[in-house]
This record gives sequence, C-alpha cells and structure tokens, in this order.
Amino acid sequence: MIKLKEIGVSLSKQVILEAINFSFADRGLYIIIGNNGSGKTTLLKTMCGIYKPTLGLVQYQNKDIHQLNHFERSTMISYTDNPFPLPAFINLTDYIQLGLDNQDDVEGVLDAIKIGHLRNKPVLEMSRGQQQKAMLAKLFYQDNPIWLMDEPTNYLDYPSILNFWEQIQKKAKEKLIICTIHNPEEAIKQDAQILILKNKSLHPLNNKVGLSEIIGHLTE
Amino acid sequence: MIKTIVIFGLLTVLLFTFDVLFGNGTFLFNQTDSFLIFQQFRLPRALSALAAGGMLSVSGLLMQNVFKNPLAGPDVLGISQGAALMVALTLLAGVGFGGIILAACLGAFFYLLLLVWASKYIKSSITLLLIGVMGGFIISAIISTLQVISQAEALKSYVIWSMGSFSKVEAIYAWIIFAFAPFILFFSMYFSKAFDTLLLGNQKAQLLGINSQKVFFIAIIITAIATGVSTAFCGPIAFVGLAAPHLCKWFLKTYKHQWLIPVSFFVGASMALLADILSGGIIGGFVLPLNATLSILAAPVIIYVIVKKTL
Repeated sequence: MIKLKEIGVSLSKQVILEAINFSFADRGLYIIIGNNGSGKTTLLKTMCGIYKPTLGLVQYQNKDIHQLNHFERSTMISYTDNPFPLPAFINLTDYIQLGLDNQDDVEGVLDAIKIGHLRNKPVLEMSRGQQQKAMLAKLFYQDNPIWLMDEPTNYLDYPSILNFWEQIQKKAKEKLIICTIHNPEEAIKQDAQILILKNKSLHPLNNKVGLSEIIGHLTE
Repeated sequence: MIKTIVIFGLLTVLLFTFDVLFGNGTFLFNQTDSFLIFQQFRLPRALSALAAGGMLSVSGLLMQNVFKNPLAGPDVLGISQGAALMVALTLLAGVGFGGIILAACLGAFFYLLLLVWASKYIKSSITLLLIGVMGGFIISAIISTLQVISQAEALKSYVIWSMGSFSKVEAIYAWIIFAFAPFILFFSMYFSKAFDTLLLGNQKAQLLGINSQKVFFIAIIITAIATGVSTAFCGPIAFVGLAAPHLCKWFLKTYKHQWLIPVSFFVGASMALLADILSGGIIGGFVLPLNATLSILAAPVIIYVIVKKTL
C-alpha cells in the first residue's frame, strides 16, 4: 500500500502540487487523467523518488520512500516515461535485461508485448513505437510490485494499445499499476479507478463515471 | 570478443617490441652498449607509451560515458591543464613543489577536488563538462601570463615538458607509470556493469538501483589518477583519450564495458606506441613532436565520429 501524505511539490519556486492525500491499494489499476501541465508527471516522479516532495511524504509499507537508497527503491517501484537515451549497439534482448539481476529468459515478456520478432534487432534502429514497446517490455521484465507509467500508450498503434491494456489488466490482479493518460475515452474503457488531477490536487471519481462527466471536469 | 582482445593485445605487444628495437630509428643491436640503451632509454619510453596511452584511453572511455558526450576526454575536462598549471608554477615561477612529478599529481588532484565540489551543486553533467572546458581556458591564460614574466631558461624547460614526450622518462619513473596501468584497468573493469547501465542515462540508472553520483565520482577519480600520473612524467598527451575509445567502439560494436575497457586500453596503448615510433626518427631521421604525430593520427578518427555520429 502506497500512501501520499500531505504531498506538496514545488519546482523552480512554482507550486505544482498541493496538499495531496491519497492511499493506493496493494493491487489494481489506477488511471490519472489531467490536462497538459496539470502535474501528472511531477506526481509520478515524486512517487518513484526522482523528485523530493517539498512538503509531506510518500509511504510504502510504512517506510518513507525518499529515505530509502536507490537500490532498495529499485526493487519496489518501476517508472517509465520515454525510452531515451538508448545505448548504441544493443539489441532488444540485451536492452530488456540491462541493469537487472533477473535470471529468467525474456521470452515471456516478448510474448506479452508481442515483439518476439524483434529480439535481435538493435533498439536504436527501431521505430519510435517499437522503442516504446521495448521500454514497456523492460518494465514487465523488472517485475516490481508497483508500476508507475507516464502516458504508456504514446506512439503505439491501435492493436498494440488494445494488447497493452489487456496485459495491464492481467498484471493489475497482483500489482499496483498507476498510469497517466490524456484521453478520457481510453480511460473509461478500462476496469480502473479513475482520478482527475487538476487545480494542483488529486480527485478520485466514482466507478460509474461517464465520459461527459470527465470531459466536464477537464474543460471547466 | 575474446578474439578481438587477443588481436589488439598482440598488436600492442608487436608495436611495443618494434618501439624497443627501432625506437630511435636505429636497430637496437647495431648500437654499442645495446643493453644499457635498452635498459635506460628504449624500455622506459616503450613502457611509458604503453601505460600512458592505455590509461588515457580508458579514462576517455569513462568520461564519454558519464558526461554523455562523445567529445569528452581527460584533456577536455581540464585535468591535464590542472596538472600543467602546477608544473608551470614549479618551473616558471620557481615555487617549490618538490619537482615536476609531485606538482602534476597535485595539480590534477586539486582540479579533481574542484570538480567534485562543483558536481555537488551542479547536477547536469553537460554543464559540468563546459565548466571543465572553461576552467581549462582560464588555467591556460594563467600559464601564458606566467610565461611572459619568467626567465628564458625556465621557460625553455616548461615548453619542452609541455610538448609531451615518452623519450625523456627516466627508467624508474617509467616503471612507476607502468605499475599504475593494471590498477586503472582492473579498478574500472570492476565497475563495468554499472557503466553499462549508466548508458541509459542517470535517471534510468538510478531507477535500476545504480547510485549514478557514486559511479560518476569513481570515473573522475580513475581519470584524475590516470591523467595525473601520465601527465606528470610524459607531459600533456593529446587526443589519445578522445580518439582511441571511438576506434575501439567502431571495431567492437558493443555497449559492454567488460570488452570496451580492455580493448580501449590496447587501442590507446597501440596508438601511443605507433606515434612514438613515427616521431622517434624512423621517417628520414627526423625527430617529430609527439603531439603533432598523435594529432595527425587521431584527428581523422574524431572527424569520422562527428560526420558518422557513431558514438
């Protein structure tokens, strides 16, 4: 269970997030919707330890995650935004395993993301969408209990987006997955708790929320 | 991969032998007192070329990794200039630091301390690289000023040192440089996995559990020692640290530092040995400045890298 306690974040003396209180369950899918500049990325970066909150704390298993060292955090929380920089001369299989001690083979995640045919291809020579999938495969392979994903469906084609959500729903039965998304139409199709980020704070919506209501929140 | 290491290792041994046998343009055993010449001149210069070239190349590889910049190198960071300043103070201003060697090591070390201190406040590695370059310019300006006010005799000995050479290293010091080489090689190879992960960027490496800041310090310490030691005895050696790692990546086409580090060492050593052979008098009996030969050898490599963008 990851808890946000009175989280406030300021970047370059600008207040981005203010007094956020929320508890995420141990497993399940949460989707955060918000307009450009609403602070979605800042929130995820604060939860994974890249940013330190100016006020308040992020707690996981009753420990302040900002007090843990890099290695301890790396075994609990994964975070993805974009795949760059990508090293030269590295193929997909090696890229997925780079920096991880996981001894399993990568076949399982290659199947899940449907990129088995790219296993020996250098990641630098892939299309942007394929690089996005390579990054997602690395996150699946890391297999941490908490996944924070900043706009994970960017650059994916339509069948890949459908496959992505199918895999995420499966994983959400055992993991806590928090995704940020722009598109409310994509969000309401998922079996997920939807949260709106606006006016520097986080607003949970009830489960039966309709599209028009979300659009109302975003455009008001 | 093992094959490539063996090939470059053999190339280094070959060039080393050639440098010992023909280092001054004359065959070793055609000279009288050939054993004395071998012991006092040929072996020291070949040893210092091998070790300095190899160490500078490894530190260039690490600098290019941690600064995320294909044009980073031990001389670009300003560490050689740091060493040069202290040597200039010793030789030109007559401020006693107990000889050139200690002065160069102290200079490299103080410059390193300054960089480490700066890196506590400046998180962007590119900003830090630019500060290193600018610091180098300031130091060069101070050295130029010192040259104006110094005695002709002192100026001469500084200019000779600053031209860089493997042929003026005394036997005992050559063995000292050589003794540092395996230390630099194994110390950097010990962290090869962390250097691999750091290719994903500081932030992603941290999310994978690597303490990027610590790896950054390690790379700087390795560079300071390698640059300090080789600059102290051989003077500033241009371009090896920049060009040799690129040649190595071009041959190996790998991201794995467990291969890149040893092969970079051998490529750098071969480059320095080749430059020493070419400038030693083998071409029509002319003794050429070492750094001029090195620049001619290395500059095309760097131009190739810039044009092709094969980092």
